[in-house]
Amino acid sequence: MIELTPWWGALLLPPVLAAFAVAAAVFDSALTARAAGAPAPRAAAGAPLRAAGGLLLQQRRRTLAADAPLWRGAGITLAAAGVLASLVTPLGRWAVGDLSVGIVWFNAMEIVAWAAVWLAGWGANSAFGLVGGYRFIAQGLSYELPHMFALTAPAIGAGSLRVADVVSAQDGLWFAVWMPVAFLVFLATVLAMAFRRPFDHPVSRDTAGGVLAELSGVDRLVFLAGRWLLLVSGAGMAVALFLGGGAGPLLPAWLWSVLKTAAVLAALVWAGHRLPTVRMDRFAELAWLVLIPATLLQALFVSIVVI
Amino acid sequence: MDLRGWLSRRLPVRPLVVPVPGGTASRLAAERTCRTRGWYSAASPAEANLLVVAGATDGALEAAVERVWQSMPAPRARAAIARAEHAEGQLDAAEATLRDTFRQRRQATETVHPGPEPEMAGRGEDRDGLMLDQLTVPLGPVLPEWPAGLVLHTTVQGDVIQDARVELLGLGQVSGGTPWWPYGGGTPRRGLAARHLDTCASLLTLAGAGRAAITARRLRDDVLLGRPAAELTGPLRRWSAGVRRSWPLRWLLSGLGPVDDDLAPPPHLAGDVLARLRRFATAAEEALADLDEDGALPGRSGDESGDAQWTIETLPRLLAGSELAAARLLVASLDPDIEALTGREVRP
Repeated sequence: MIELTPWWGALLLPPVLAAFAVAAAVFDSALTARAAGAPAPRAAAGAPLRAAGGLLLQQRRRTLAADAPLWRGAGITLAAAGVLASLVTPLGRWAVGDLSVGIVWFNAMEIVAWAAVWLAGWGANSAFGLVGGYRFIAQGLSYELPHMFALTAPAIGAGSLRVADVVSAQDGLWFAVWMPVAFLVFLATVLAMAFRRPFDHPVSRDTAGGVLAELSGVDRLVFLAGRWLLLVSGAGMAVALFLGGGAGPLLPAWLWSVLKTAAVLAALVWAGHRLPTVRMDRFAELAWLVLIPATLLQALFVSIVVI
Repeated sequence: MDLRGWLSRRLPVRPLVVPVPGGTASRLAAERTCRTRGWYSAASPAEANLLVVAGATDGALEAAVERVWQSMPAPRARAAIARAEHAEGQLDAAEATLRDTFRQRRQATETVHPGPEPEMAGRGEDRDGLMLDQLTVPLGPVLPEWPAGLVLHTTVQGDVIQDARVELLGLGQVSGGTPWWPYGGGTPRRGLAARHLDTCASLLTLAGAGRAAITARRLRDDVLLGRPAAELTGPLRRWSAGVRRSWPLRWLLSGLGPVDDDLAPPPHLAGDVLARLRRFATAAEEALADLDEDGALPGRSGDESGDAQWTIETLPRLLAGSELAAARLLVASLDPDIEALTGREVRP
């Protein structure tokens, strides 16, 4: 059911992801403008692109004794992680890569983000950046296990780690319907992975922007773009693993994939505007006492049903 | 085609507002103008392109502001708002400078100064008895949602504050008295409601409750601009109820930054961060009930300088062993009005 694209599919992947990222950023900016009572909501739609243009103009900043290659490389690493994670995500009937261990690949690429965010915080040689880095490591330790168990449930349900198999296993019933806990935990941990609110403690204002505190100009632009790409890759995978991929009536499969991904992205961005920042001490408690047991029970339930 | 000019004209303005003791009215005017123009405030000098100094600076505070300016990357502009009524004009002028490619090109030839390097303060045992590096990290005077003129010199291990010392800057320029009360010719109750809303807005911003924080700021500005009480009652009541009943805020803020009774706090500063937030939200609502009348004032002792004095004397004890995130929320929830201290013998 899922076919490999020709080689140039790999060239199309980044622009497709970028289009989703821009759309999500526009939606985010419109929500912010509405809450702030700022004039002309239409102007808010252009704000992310104008901000990106502004960052192209802005001088690159340096800090004393920064580890420049690691610090400036962090944004590229983050963006690369987002794109590579989506290599195995199908859009309708097409996927750029169809690995037999696609889910593991996706998870492995996401974990590259750990290194990227930590290096951005540590490399700047700034106290607030360092604190932001610490916070992301603590966040990673809290979200990664629930995230992996949430990924395990659809893999058990389909009896395969290949994303194409997981999609076709949802022919009758979407996994989101009979694995709701795994689905919700997956969505929450995608927000945590992209350190978006309510999991934005690593870049919180209380530390002057945390890992972002010292980044300016094109370095900041690449890092922020990488963060959006990561969120898009998570939303795309949520559609493939839990919402039946491109399955749907009337419309072509690729359009169903696009619509579902857009809906998941919108829900993730909207949730961020509704919830306050979860500090690490509270998130660790929640993750280890609630999310891990819940996802384990979900995996157990799925295993019993499959048998 | 002049791409640089084209981008400059469309550049979003990111102000970094530096609060200065004695400059509260200027800060409020600047914040209001920025908000209605859709200029979202920056979290750090690296993110900012407009430095807004709200009030008159001198000495050490002047030097701190200058360091921040030096570390801001071009394109950049600055506005010094000495008087609230000049805020719009000063911000207009600064925006024009920011979008002027000729002047920005000259700016860009100056190098951006790197910020200060974190200073190692040696090693010491942490709370679990491990030997860890200690850093000396100053908090303030230029930090988002931070009281004007306050500097905390902290020794930090990881993100845990081991030790804190208070320094106050910029009190030389203050003429005394707190500007909350006479601001805009309003009644004391309007000033008080605005003060509570301002404290809540900072606290909610740091807690990451963006929507509630923005609503608090809009209400604060409406109260100060003299909008009739009848129009304000509904929105203020909804906001206050939302803040007090929010279960995520209860989960996140309860038990945080507790002030024990044996520290003899002013009654409205007792309890944890959540208790203070709820108290201020309630008090803002109560102040509104008879907004334009004189009489007893709810929610504050009425002795701002006494409260601020207690806060700066007690802060080092409250902060020792606290995580940075908790410390920031604690300071925002106590929100000392440093400029009220001018009439007193100041001993941090």
